[in-house]
Amino acid sequence: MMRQNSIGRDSGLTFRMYFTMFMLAALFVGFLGLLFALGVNWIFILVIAVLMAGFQYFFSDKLVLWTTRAKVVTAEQEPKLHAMIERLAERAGIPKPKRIAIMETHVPNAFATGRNPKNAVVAVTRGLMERLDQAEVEAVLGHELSHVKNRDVAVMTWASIIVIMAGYVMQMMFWMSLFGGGRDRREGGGAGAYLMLAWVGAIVVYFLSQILLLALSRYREFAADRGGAILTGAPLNLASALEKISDRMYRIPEKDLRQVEHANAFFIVPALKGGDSIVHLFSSHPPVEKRVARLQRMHEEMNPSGIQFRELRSR
Amino acid sequence: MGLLGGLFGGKSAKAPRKGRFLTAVNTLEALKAKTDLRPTGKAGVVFNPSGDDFFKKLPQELANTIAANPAARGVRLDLMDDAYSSRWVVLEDKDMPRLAASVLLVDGVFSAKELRRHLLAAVIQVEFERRKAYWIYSYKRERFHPFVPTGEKTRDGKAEMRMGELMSKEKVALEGTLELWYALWGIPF
Repeated sequence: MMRQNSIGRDSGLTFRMYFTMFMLAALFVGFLGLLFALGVNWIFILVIAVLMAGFQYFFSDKLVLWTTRAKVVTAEQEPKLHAMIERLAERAGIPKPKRIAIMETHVPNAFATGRNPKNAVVAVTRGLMERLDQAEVEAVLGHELSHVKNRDVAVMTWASIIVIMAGYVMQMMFWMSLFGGGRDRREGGGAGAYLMLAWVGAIVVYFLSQILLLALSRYREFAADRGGAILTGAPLNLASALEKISDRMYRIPEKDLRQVEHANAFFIVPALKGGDSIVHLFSSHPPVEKRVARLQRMHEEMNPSGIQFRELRSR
Repeated sequence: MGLLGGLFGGKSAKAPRKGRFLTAVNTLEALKAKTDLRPTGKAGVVFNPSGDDFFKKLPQELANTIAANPAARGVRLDLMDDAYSSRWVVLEDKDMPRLAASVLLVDGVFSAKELRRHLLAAVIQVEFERRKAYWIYSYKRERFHPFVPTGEKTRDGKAEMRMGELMSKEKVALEGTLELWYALWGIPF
């Protein structure tokens, strides 16, 4: 249920985030279901549901920092990054994000999270800063700050809360019909079938709403691309950054196997076959080619004469 | 069970692992004819030594084991330390089946003493697009990945992806997660 907006697709990162999200949602629905099954008053359950949703909403930034292992950095530690974000935030008319973080991975990527601009977190990977040039990093940060400005984290978090509540209400209705309406129908025999139906119904609702959520997320990505491009005035910089981020070659590490083994950090992930296609099906990001094409169109619209403006100030 | 399988006391649970290694070496031989990829006759095993007595006796143990096995006899054997406090067994033989057999023998010597956890990787040197390159086999992942170093700490990711494509086409157990294609800087052969 916790949301973030990362610039590109990173199967590892995406998997970790979706796994956490899924587990949180499952825990959430499971816990409420358990309370209901135990016969706890439904108003009390609703209060707990709101409290839990509220907790996730207010701590989403911390949860994301935790799942991505991003470390918050000060202006002294990363002066260039801080200055760049400050400049862009000012241009976007939003306060400078409260926390700026770095993920120590060579895969170039970035994300923004936080329930509102004041509590925003912008995180970039070490690989993004090392493998992209200054203008491209700026373009990526522009994209992330557009997410912050558009309050995408809040939008997506609320959308997913609604989705989960819908799933829960549906489940509750089936349970009610099972216990409350049971008398009018057959005695006992259909209980198992109703129970199955309740589960199937909840799963279908959950699945469909996830697909809708992802569509919404993809739409927000296009919007952030557009906003970011306007912010820097250079859509093509974002286009080339996206191409670099999506280039599979940049996933190959520079780290040495012996160092990794000595540090005892060699985490063994199961080599999933076809893991990539799962990410595609449930992709929260539109394909890079589509995004690049749109940015190229934007560039042409912004520069009918074919001259690329370095900066396009909004004020 | 073939000749090589017989060398290791026939622990059936470990057969697929050895199978993967031999398949890879056979593939390398087959690719020689149709691609720009060929074996050079050099291979190595890198491991993390400990204070265990086993590591002191290892050079002698390896020499004896290789000499005692007809499938590997005659392979040139060297041991050397590197800057990562890891140690290398470097093996050389123009005959690829013999080279492969000797790599598996090294593995067997560690396995026999239950010290396989010290093994990091087996490395086969190849020539790819007329450049020195390697196939790295991770003992933990039991998978191969390509490695094309271009300098002290630089590598050619594009060439590696090309080589990786060839490997997976030929059904080599390729590491599918690019993030785990770790480098081995300064391979001593």
